[in-house]
Amino acid sequence: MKKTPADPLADARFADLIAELRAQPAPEPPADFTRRVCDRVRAASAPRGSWAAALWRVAAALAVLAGASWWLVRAPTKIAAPAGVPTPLEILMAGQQADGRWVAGGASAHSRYDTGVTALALLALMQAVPEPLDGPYAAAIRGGIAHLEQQQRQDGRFSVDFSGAAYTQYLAGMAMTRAARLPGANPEWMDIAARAQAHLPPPMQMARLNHRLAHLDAMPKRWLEAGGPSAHAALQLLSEYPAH
Amino acid sequence: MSGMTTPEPLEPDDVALMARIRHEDPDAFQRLVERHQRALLNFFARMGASNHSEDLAQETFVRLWNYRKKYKPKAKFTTFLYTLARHAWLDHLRKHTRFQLFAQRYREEMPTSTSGGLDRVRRELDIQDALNQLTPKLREVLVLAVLQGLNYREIARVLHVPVGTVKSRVFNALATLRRIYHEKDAR
Repeated sequence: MKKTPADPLADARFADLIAELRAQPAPEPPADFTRRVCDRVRAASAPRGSWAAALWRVAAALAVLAGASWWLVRAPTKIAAPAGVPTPLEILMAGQQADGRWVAGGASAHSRYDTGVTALALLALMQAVPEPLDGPYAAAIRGGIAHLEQQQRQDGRFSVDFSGAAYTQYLAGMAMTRAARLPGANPEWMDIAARAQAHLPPPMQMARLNHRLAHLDAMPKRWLEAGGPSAHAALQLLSEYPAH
Repeated sequence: MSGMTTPEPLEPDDVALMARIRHEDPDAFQRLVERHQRALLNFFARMGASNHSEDLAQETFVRLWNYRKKYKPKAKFTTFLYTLARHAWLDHLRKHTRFQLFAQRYREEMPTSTSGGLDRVRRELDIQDALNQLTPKLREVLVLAVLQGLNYREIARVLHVPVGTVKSRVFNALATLRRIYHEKDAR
């Protein structure tokens, strides 16, 4: 029977590892950390709001709902989503453009983010809907894949150099890989995915991106803001429909 | 008596501060937050929640205030604090499990190639990334023992497991971490 040492922390085999762990610098607390904690506690301990405050909250919630409805009605709809499907799916379907892409619709959006948002939307749809290439969403998915195909350059890259190029490359490469493995896939899609491989970001950067995908709130706020409704909806769908 | 100086008042210990917090003393609470914020931030960062460590540390202090009357002075304060921190962490994990599944699938699906790919990622992970590769159960015991300085008995109280189990988990965590971390040397 394997015996556990009396004190593993004193085990010489682990001394270097423990030293290295302890050498990691501790994060510095923000200057206003204490104040913010005390504010939260004060707010939580405060007596319940008045009727007027409650009414105000209800009115604000209704205003948000009305705004969302207005956006959905206004956005161009290519394919009507069946009744009863989750709202993020409706938002995605409404957000697809005629050329198959999804656009980054946030306040700080730029057209060069569109490839990344398209890849993210495709990943979400391929994960969330049954029979992605054969069901009611097949046209939208195939349209998005066709758009990604067109975006890939000769050398395998999916975008020009910019701060989000690594992220774009990673998402687009992954979307094409997933697409290539679906029943009914075009065999050329795997070639596209393989060509994308040569330009994947450095390993550490990919590890960070994986972490951000695994923890939605680890995603930089400016990315989420730039992504807009389609990116938000895609991320929400991915959380609602885990890997199956 | 000339020449004698008044001794500095002693800084109240955690137990004394908790006694005052029990009676809703905001100054005592503030002092406790100032005293333990760095350690809590470090705990959550090492548990792999670096982008949420501030929120989680705040959440832990809010819970500390809410549960102030449940604290029994015979227990060491840090045991109570890390019990609350662990619960905040577990709630956070539950919320993100689905995304973790997604990321896991991501790693598995990416085609491998000699020019890059995730094999290379795994080999070049630094110590924090290696720590993130441990299961939450092994990671928490290692963080509490190595980085937060709790002894085995205190950890056993936080986790509600026997001391022997704590030692066994620490050993397994160190052995696993060493294997993951040194895989990069095998290149």
